[in-house]
This record gives sequence, structure tokens and C-alpha cells, in this order.
Amino acid sequence: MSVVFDFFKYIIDLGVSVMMPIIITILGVVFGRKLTVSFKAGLTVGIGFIGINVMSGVMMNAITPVTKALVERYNFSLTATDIGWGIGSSIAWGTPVVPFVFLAIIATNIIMLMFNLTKTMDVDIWNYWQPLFISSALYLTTGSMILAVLSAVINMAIIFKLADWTQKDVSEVLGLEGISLPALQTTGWAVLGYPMNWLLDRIPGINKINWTTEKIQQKLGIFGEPMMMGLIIGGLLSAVAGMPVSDVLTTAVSIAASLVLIPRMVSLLMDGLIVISEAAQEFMEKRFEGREIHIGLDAALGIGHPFVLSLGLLMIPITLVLAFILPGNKTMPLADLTALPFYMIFAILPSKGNLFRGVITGIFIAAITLYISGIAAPIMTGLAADIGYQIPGGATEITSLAVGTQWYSWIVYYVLSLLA
Amino acid sequence: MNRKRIYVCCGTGIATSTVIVKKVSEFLNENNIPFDISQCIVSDVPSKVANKKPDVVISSTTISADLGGVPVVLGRSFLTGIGRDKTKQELREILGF
Repeated sequence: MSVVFDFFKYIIDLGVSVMMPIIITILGVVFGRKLTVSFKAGLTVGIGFIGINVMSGVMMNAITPVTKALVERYNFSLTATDIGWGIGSSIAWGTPVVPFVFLAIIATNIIMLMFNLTKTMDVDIWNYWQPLFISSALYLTTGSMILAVLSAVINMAIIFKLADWTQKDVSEVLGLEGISLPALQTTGWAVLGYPMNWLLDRIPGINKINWTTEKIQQKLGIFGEPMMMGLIIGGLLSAVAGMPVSDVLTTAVSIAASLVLIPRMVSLLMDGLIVISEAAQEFMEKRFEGREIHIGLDAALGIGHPFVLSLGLLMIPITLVLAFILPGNKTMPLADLTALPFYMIFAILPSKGNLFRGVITGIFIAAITLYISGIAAPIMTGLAADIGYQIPGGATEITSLAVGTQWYSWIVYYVLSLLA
Repeated sequence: MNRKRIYVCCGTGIATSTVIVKKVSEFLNENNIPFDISQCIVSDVPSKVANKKPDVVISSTTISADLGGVPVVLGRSFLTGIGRDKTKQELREILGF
């Protein structure tokens, strides 16, 4: 027994780029894929991790001196930099909890489908990273694999129910027939979005205001492009930090490069996971043929809707301003600003496209997201160091708005932490 | 036959578009159609199309921006499996094979 355990420890200690190819290969074979196909998928994932490691180094080296200079110069309090969901997801997919949590999520889904507790068949394997992040965090802080797995079961059970309840609007308003969105970051906000809409509907005067979203996309579209976003924020921050022009220019370009290149590396992870995701999809479909089922897919499918995209773009400057004026906030929003539409779907869906109500609810979502991202920063920094990413020391921490925006999973995290 | 230029986009330019790129590439390879395929974010599409016009844009989500007459195909069936043949037929007609 101890030989097996020593072997696992040896593999885990070799780091994520060795461990994950092995895990993915095994999972692929378990789901009935050929060894060669599974191995190639696993290796692709390993390569993705190496790419992300290099690119996150580039980004950290560019942003850290800026944050330090800002801290020294202005007593700047936004010391947790949002380095984005790309790195957040790679951390979540890179810890030893992955195989156990992965199988537990699929089992949870199948059991809930069997007992008619949900209609959502979640084939969006990639976004398992959201519950996986919390599981990894619990494993880091409590060392308990049982709590890690339990957190994912709870988080996913909740999101399957929310995905069921919101499916009608997803179908009718976003036009995604037969599809539901079991994503913590997106559908978790339905819990706020619908009551807010109900409330705004009952305030005299306010309930008459209706803004539509035309033209916003053309005017703010440029902010939705990661390279422009990185260039502008990177340049502005380093200029305000009083760095010399040469540093301002190199920082701006480096941040722009990171925001373009990190996702490219993440797409390698995604590419490798397709083999597993297809196999899991077939496995589940075979078991529930002929049943009325909603296919659970990535919330990315809803992002293109004009009112979602417009609200997301409009929320970029608003979130930046909020970060600076909210008392006690320490999150510096950056990489995930371009992912805001994901968190905003349920700010505007309940009112079927009223931008005014979208902005009001969006402000609450952004504020809560900033605070939770700040709380998550030490955990994300610890996890990143744990799986071998180069995190420069000093006053700065890393975080991701995507991690902060999966709000209820952090309640699960804290409740389960108390049990440890 | 000319190389077909295809842009595939989704909300992240990573997630669902990677799956679609893979499926579309398989489909075109089976039919011996030469092609260049690239991925992007849905908000990036207008500027990408303005730089260089593709033969078709395949998206997992709605594209509301004006793409100046470039045909847009909804690629959701590559994710769900439902109606995939219809989408393939649509691609055949647009790309002319």
C-alpha cells in the first residue's frame, strides 16, 4: 500500500505538467478511449500547463513592479491583481483532487438524473474547473480529500437545480433551445438577478425606466478586445505609478501580450480535455436516451446576445471605478474584465433586456465579486505556488474575478472548512 | 480549390470554439477541402472580419454585429450533436462542395 502511495506522491511532486498527462490518460482509458488517443490528449494538457506557466510568468513580471510602485507612491490598496480565469482554471485542473472530484461530479449528475432531481445533463466538462477550484482550495487548506469531493457535489447539485429553474428564460430569451447553463459563475447570480428585478418592478418611477442596448457595442466594442484592454490598463497603471516612458511602453505591451497569449495556452488544455469530455458525453447520453433532457453547456453560448454583450462592456469601466471607490476592496480588476459578460447574464435576463436594471444589478454583482476575489487572493496565490507557477514574492497577491464571482461556492467553502 | 478561410468564435475564444474548430476541421478533412481556421472572441469578430474577410464565420453564440455580408453559421450542433447534419449541409452550401 505504501508503495502505491509513495508512487502517487512521487508523481504529484513532479508537478502538474507530468501529473495531468497521466491522470488524463487514465481517465480517457476508463471511459473507453484508446490508449494512444488518451495519451496524446494527456500530453496536450501537459504542454498547455507548461505554456501557461511561462505566460503567467511574463504577466506577473510585468504587473508586479507596477503594483509595488503604486503601493509605495500612493499607499495603493489594490494589491491583489486579477490575473484571469485562464490561470484560475489551470490551477483548478492542476491539483491532485482532479480525478476524484471529476468522477464525483459525473456521478452526482447521473444520480440526480436517475431520480428525476434534475433535467440538466452537464456535458460542459471544461467548466468543472469552477467547483474544482473550491475543491482544490479546501484540499490545500484542510488536507481532506473527502471535504474536497463533498464541496463539488454540493456546489454542482445547487447549480443543476438553478440551471433547471432558469432554463425557460435561457431558451426563450437567449434562444438556446434545449440547453441549460450549469455554470457557477453565471447562473449562481440568478439568485440575485430575479429578486432584484422583482424589487425594481415595484419601485414607482424606477419601474418605468427602460434603456435599450443599441449602439453600445459599436462604441465600447474596443474594450471587449483583450489586447486593447491590456494595452490601455497596463499603460495607464504604469504611467500613474510614475514609471519611465520606456517601462510604461514595455509594460503595456507585455500585459496586452499576456491577455492574448494566456488564453491561447488555455485552449491547449481545453483541446486535450475534449477527448474526456466527448467520452463522458457519450457515456451519459447512452444512459438517458429518450428522456426529456436539457444539455448543460458553457455559458459562452449566451454571451453573444446583444444585451448581454452590451451590459458586459458597459460594466468594464463601472467595475474599474468600483474597485477604486469601494472601501476595503483590494482587488485590482484586470484580465477578467473581458469576461464580465459571463457574470452579467442574469443581471439582465430577468428583465429581458432592460439595460438600466442590468446596470443596477450588475453593480451589486461587480461589488460582491471584487470583495470575494480579495478574500480568495491568498488562497489562489497559495494554490498557484503549490502547483509550481512562479509567483513573485512581496506585497502582491494574485486572484481572478472569475473565482470571486462564483459566490455561493465560497459559502460552501467556509462551512466545510469549519468541519475540518 | 482555393483555401477556405474560416473564423470560429465563442464567448471566450477558447472553450466552445475549440470544440467547434476540432469538429469542423474533421469534417473538412474528410471532404478533402483545404482550409485555414482560426479562433476568436465574439467581440473580436467585427475587427477581424474588417481586416480580412473569411468565407464563413461559425459561432456558438449569436453575432449581432454587422459583418458586411459574410455568412454566419450557428455551430451549436457541433457541441450538442443535435442537428449536426443540417449544419454540415449549410457549410457545404456556403463553401460550395
